[in-house]
Amino acid sequence: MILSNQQYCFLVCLLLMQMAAARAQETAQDSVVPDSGRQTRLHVLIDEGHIEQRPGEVDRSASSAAYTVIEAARFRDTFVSLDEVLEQEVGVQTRSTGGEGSLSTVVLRGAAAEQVIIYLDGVPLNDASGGAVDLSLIPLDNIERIDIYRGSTPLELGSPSIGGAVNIITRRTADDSPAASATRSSHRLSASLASFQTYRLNASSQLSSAKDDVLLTGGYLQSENNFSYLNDNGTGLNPADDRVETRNNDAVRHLTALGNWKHRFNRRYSSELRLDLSDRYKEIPAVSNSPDVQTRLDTRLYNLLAQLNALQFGRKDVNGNIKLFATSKKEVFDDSLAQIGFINQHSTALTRKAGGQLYAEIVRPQTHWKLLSGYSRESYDIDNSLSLVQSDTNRRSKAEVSVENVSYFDEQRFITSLALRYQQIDDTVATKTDEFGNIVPGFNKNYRLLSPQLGLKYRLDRRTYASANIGQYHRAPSFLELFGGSGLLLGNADLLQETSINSDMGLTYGWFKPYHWLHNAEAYAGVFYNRVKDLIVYIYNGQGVGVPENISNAVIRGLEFTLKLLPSKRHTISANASLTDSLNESDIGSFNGKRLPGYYRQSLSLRYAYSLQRWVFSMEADIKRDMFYDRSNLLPGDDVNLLNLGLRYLHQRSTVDFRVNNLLDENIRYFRNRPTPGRNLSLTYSYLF
Amino acid sequence: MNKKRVNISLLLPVLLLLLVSGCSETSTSKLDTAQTPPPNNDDNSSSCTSNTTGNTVPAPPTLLPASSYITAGSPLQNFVAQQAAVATVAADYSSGAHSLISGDNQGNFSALNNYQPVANGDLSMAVYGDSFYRIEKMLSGNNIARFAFSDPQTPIWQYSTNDAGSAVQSNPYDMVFVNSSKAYVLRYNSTKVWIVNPSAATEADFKLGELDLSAYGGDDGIPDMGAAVIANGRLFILLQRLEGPTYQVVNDAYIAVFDTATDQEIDTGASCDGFRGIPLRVRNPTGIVYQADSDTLFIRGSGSFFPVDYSGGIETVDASTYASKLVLDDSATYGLITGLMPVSANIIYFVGYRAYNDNTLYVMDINSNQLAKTRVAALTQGQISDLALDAQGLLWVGDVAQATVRIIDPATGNEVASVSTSLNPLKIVFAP
Repeated sequence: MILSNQQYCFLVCLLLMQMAAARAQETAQDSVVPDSGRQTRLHVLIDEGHIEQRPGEVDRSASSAAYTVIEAARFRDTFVSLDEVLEQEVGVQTRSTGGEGSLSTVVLRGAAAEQVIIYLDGVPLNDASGGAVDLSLIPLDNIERIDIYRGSTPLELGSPSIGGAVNIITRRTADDSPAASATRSSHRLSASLASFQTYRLNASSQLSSAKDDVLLTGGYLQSENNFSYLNDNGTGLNPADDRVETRNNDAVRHLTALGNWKHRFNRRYSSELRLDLSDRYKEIPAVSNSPDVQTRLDTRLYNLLAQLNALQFGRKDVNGNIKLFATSKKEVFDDSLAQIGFINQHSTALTRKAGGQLYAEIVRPQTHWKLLSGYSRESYDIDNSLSLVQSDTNRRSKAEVSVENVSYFDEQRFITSLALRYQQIDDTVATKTDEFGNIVPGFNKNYRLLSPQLGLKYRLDRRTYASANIGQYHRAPSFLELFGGSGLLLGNADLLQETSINSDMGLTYGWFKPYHWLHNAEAYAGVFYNRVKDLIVYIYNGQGVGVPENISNAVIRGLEFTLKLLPSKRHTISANASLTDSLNESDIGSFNGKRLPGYYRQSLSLRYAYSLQRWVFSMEADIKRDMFYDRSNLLPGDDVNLLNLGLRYLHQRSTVDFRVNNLLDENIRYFRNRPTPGRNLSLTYSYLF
Repeated sequence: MNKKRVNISLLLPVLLLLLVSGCSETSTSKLDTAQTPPPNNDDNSSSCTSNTTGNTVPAPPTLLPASSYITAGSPLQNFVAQQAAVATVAADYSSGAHSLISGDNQGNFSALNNYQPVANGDLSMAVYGDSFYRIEKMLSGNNIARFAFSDPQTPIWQYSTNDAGSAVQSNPYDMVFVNSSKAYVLRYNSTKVWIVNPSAATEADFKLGELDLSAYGGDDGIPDMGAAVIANGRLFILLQRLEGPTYQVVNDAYIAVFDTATDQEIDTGASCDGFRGIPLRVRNPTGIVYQADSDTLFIRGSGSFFPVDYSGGIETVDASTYASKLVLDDSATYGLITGLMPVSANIIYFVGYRAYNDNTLYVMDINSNQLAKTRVAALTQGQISDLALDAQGLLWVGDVAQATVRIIDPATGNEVASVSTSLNPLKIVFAP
């Protein structure tokens, strides 16, 4: 248990008081009984834009979490990747290791990628084997919307995480309202041509009838990623041997497909079945950029989701859903000639995950109860065919129960949400047979994690509100950290989970036609303070043997600002800025008092779009400063100065989009010795019929 | 004269010239490659006596009680001003650098740290004359950079040790010097040692030639050259001969010996396996030191870390006769041998590695076969990286657990000074 007995009792008392207050509110408002549980929930009247909500999806109008929503219109019919879209949002930073299809990860409010949970339709993508979610495996063309929650995780998303959460909503068909009796269909074709021998094709079809909606998409991306950059030949102190080279062995071939079938049984019950596939072949370049390198990583990923939604289930104020999911991921890493790593590897890693989730909510006029319970099992097998080591399967089972109460006061101006989450994680490490036939026994490890969370939201009007949140979040150690890799990487069965107490406050202010020259405006200012303890870091001894240890605590704090201006219907201006600082408190002298690595302290993003009849001109600037590659803060990272220009033409069913990315032609290295492409062009043609 | 007739009298000098050039030893020239011939399998193994034949495993040494100690030399009277360069690495190996430690004649030591940071901190160090050479291994760029002690910030040069255009990362491990214009660079991932000119003004002039050690490669073809030393005009190269993708310690290790004047391998006659080099009884040799007073090479064999296998120990080799002797067989009692420094002809310091964070410094008298645990508490059950002996006879020890270099007087066994290096010390070398 993380909380002491006193803290636990205090929390339970707080929850009971909340229940009593909510009950009092209900009693007073019994005369205002909605005629159906969900649709006439009072807070739904607050228009936050198009929100297609189902039971189990986050109700952002009531959520106090700091969040950003990215709709598909921002990135549809243009050549851009998921990490490039996320990069422009406040509090979010992404890091890529190279060109198209290269490993890309996300940092949220200074929290490392391993501490951020990426969800796909509410199902977490992070693996127990460790590491961050690779954003390059998720094609944008299959995405309908991206919800980014900074610092706190809504209960509907289940597992809370230290940095926050990114929920990627896949494309679905028409909204929930019953369709006309006639069957309708729409189709989209898109083709892109871009620099570095890059090609992309996408196709999608939507078929809708009175009861069924079917969406099918398919896409293919191919790129040689043969961009030019300055290779220092490994001699950073000798510019004489530097040379401009074409990147070698960085090609990608990526095939994706998505099928989504929604069935409406009646007004109250519906089901959804989704299957998506990602098959990617990716070459891995060496730091030396030798053309002889043949290392590659093949990844094949299947995701299956089945969901049953119920409105007014049993009672008119009860809604819920049941979700079943399964994932299979196979990664084949071929470095047989040890051109990238220390040892010859031809390893196959297989991750399988399956689970279910039950969500139920009771919707009352002044209070809203939510319950989420889930169970999942995950297995991880890895086999290096060039090694004699054999290993059984590593397994993780996770059970979680979460409850939240959302209460409304003062004619729903004031909203409180109190949530409690409990997770039970049981890990079973594999028994191994080493090179000499010795049996290395496995062991079990379990974690019991409690995550309380409190949110407050005060609404001045529908677009102006203040919010505050505080909560406790965890990250359980990964399989690699617990059980070790091969050779020099040992495991540590005594690892504690990383724990963070996150808090933030924010003010969102909206104007509607405040001046004659300003049609609409919205601004946000927020401050956050996170205290993380027991950070897991690999520590190496004098012989280069590494062991993960809970070696550090850290404070991460920052400021966030966003501003959106619509001077007229033709102009759109948005800007966001963040200042994130951290302080490492570590037993390791060279880490103590330093900043955490891997994120930029200062970040500024600007976007401008101008529409004139059929034309849309856009400009994006992204400026980031002050990052360190290492914990000792000896290696400053590359600054980011990105300028992108776009020109779009819309005519009837066709869209033509032309972009110039990275106009300043900078090969930014988000990771040391991993350059990303410089200036590049793209042309996309889309046809809707 | 018929143009098609060959004048034999003109051919004779040419034939003579060819005959003479074929018989003479080749001198060192640019891009010459001196090759180690493959093992001669015609030896009559039944009558062959190697330098390891007949030698027995020594009895376990006697551990002296805590009140006793083994000393070497006379207690220190006066300090001498000196400098040392130390390769350092962050605890998580995300970065590395070098430090310069200066000591005055009052025994005050101070360090200037974190010069020229580099990614990953996969570093070692070498020294010759007034320069130190920072060796950046595979994860830090496969190159060597030369610095002057007088200016540890500004590189004199930095040259890659990779073969041009090759995908193989050379992974330089050590650099040993014949003189200011000739040195050898051990490249761990390669079968070839580079002969280099440390005074080269351009990278094109850096590499002079190669020594071919491919004959010592096992099934994977790589001899795993780990360390080297020059003594009496001979280059002694430790060859670990680890096997396979996980560096299994299954083959016997060797020392290849080369004449530094001719760069030809010397047939030591010490092996019955057809190799010209000296067979070792310890496996996975990771360090070699030449003790001039006794004309003896001291070799530490670290055995196997994964899985733990006590196939190492401490072995001595007579630098002239190549006779070898096992002086300490490793065992679970003291652990794997990961550090070694003789402080006199018969007194050695070594590091016993029992576990990741259980390294202990010992002192041993190899004549009496007695040993004692260090008197320095921080160097018992800690993390120790390197042992180095300065010109005064003081022992410098890299304490990784505390990111500190500790200086011990072998005459008393006590710590006389310690210096923080900010990052963890990996390798220590001294200015002349």
